[in-house]
Amino acid sequence: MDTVPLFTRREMVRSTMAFAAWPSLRSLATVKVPTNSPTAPDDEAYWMQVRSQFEWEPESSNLVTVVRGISPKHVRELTVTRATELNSLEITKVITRNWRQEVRKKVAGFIGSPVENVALVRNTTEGVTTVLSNWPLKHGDEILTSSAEHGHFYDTLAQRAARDGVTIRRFHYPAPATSAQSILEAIEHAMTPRTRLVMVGHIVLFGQINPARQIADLVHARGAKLLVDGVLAIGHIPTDVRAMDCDFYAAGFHKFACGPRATAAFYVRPGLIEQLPPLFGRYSEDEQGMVHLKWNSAEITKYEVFGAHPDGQFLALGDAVDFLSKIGVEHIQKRLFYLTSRWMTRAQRLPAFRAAVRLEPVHCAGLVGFELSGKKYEAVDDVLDKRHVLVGGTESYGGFFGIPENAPRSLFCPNAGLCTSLADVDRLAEAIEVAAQAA
Amino acid sequence: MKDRREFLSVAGRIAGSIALASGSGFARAMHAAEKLTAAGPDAAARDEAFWTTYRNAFTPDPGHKWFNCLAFNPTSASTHESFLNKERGWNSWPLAHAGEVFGSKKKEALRARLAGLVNASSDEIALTRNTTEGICNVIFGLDLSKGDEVVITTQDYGTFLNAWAQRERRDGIKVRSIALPVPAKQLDDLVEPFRQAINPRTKVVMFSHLSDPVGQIFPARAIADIAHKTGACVIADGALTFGCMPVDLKAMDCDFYGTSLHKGVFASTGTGFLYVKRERIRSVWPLYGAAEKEADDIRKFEHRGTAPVTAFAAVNDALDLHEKIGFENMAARYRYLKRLWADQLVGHSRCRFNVSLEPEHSCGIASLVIDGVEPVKLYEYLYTKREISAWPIRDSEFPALWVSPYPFTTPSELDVLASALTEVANKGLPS
Repeated sequence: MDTVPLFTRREMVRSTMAFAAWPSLRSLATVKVPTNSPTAPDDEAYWMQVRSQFEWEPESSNLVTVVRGISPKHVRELTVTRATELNSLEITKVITRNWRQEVRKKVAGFIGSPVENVALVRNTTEGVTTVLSNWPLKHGDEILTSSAEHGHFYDTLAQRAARDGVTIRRFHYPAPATSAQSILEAIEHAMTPRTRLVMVGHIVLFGQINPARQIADLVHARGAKLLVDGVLAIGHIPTDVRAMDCDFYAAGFHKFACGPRATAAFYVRPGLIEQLPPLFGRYSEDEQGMVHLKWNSAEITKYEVFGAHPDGQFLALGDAVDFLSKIGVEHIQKRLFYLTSRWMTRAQRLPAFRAAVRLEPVHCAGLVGFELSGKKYEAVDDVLDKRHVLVGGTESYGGFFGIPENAPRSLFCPNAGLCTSLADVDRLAEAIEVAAQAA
Repeated sequence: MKDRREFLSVAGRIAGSIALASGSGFARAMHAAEKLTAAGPDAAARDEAFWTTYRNAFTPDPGHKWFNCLAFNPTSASTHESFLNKERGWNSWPLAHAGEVFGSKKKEALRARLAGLVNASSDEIALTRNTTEGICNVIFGLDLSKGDEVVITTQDYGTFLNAWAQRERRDGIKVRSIALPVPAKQLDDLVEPFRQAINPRTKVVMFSHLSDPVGQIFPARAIADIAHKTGACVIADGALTFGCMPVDLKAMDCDFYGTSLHKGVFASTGTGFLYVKRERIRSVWPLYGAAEKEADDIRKFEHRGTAPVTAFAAVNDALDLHEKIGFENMAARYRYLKRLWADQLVGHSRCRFNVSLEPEHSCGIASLVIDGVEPVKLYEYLYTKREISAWPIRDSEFPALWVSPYPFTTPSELDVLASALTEVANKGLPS
């Protein structure tokens, strides 16, 4: 070779090696990624072509990708191929030094961020925890969040409170929200002069789309920072962090974005990186071998130092982003709303059916939380299970339909995705009808 | 396909037959390893017939010569196959079945298995994604006040040096980074600096069980005893020891020990564990947060969000072969290989090692200095002209060439390495 690939130790990745035994394991999945955008949400020929890129058990209706997403076959195979390439002694011969920057560029473009403000991290939790645990706060400062966030983050917040004397406030999320204003009012009412950080999901657990820009304007007007958990929104509705004007944004790609598991984008607004220490110690070597301790540097890459990671996941992420970009996330949003409307319009005829979001494009797209009033959760779950309709559910805490938080209930949360067909949502609607009519 | 059960059983049979076909090198290695124990470690280290069989479970490239063990460790073909099958399955199996890939039963079984390998209890082992995660949980999770002192060494891993620097800046603690003799002539040379640095304000003592840049094994118990006398807790970075030599955490008496499984036991990348002495669990805030009710539960360190569980699901495969070989035998093999090449350079007037080659000081890693030859240039020359890969340590305190053979490295490969190094020592680098 002409040049010596001199990596720093932390940049070392494993490179190509031909396993003679592997050809039998290589999937022969045909890659026919759509090369154009759809004409309409009900362009079934187009959307079934998209659906054909996925693989799952044919007898089930998979409406649970919000819990455990699946990648299209070519992304899955690329993850596997890259993992095999990395499982080799010939580390330096194939993988280029700049692969991470190439992936970062694609991800940055996908979320509307400058490339120098996006870090590739392992999941949403990593990005969110970096902010919740490390954003500088003093004793008595407050963090505000809603009652509709990912359950584990309440533990993270409680820990911050216990360690640093920060106060955590939680506003009761209006469900179903009648308007963006109802959400803004709930936030405004809960903020105090000590509020320094507000965290909300771009889309919350039961599918409500938050008016992110308006929330940012409100939060900033009160002198606080906004952290947005984008994991339920990325690949579901268009994401533009600059338009959103949030200060921090974290989103894993393994749900609606159909990306490899354990890959996520973490955005930090320009000017804030220096103030936000990473979760792990930043370590880099220069060409002279000098170790630089840069935890308070302005380099976004300081959030990417977390030890060895199966980088095959990241190497395939660019293809997942390309797949979504070719389709167009704005089209995806419309398609998912179309599918949701199809089942929810039927379900809304049932007196027992109650949804936590209004069926309007401004409020929801592919994800809706619901319950059947008066029906036991387990009984409804049984009907869905017997009909092989796979759906997710929310964690059990209150805030829905005015239910008091000391008497929480769970909701079912089916989601339409790129692998969902009309037959799938029809099956869901039918199952709900049967469950509603059961004794 | 009539129903879900039939689909899964057919898929399972296909996966199984593929596994048998391409895992035959692994199966042969497992079978051959059964004879190692009877032979004893010294004989096992020299049993080239076995190590050739072992090598075939990994299928390394026959051209280039690699001496980067523990920096980049591939898994065996069988372990990798297991990982790939689960990775593919995860993307197509229904939710319930995918949960069985590495559900709570399997997780607890792995926890118990790892605990047994290091003389610890299950309730002291947290599964992590790598050493960095385990150790940083402790570094950032211990409650320390302004003025508290932490003793570390200049041989510790850069990420951890910086983690402590971060705490020093944010929390006003004092970090004492001690330099140690390189090479240490006797183990007490490594203990005395700790004795000098530890004082009543010391709350934490941290060291590498086997240091990365030098390859030095630290006398863990002796250091721990000194630290505990003053009430300090002890963190051992075990990234380079688990799997390479027997590790007895009770004997070491450290309070925390973090390691990776994708190094010494050749498991899939993204796997590791953190040991926390039971009575210390409550004293550490987990990096990603946990509920108060879990304060004494080792699992509080595992709430890290979506993780590559398929890598964990394949760990048992790697452990099966490693346990069959035996940790003592593996250590003997590493030490034997080290001497095969290093002894050809010991005594050369222009060569010296940054670590003693004696077994109590080093295992498989040895870092070599050739007077007048800059390590980076030596690395470049070896890589481009001699098809040899050994890593340059560019640290200003102990620049050297880092040589770490794999267990399946052959004596002839080591002769090629030694010959090339001798040539450079004699004549310098070609211009």
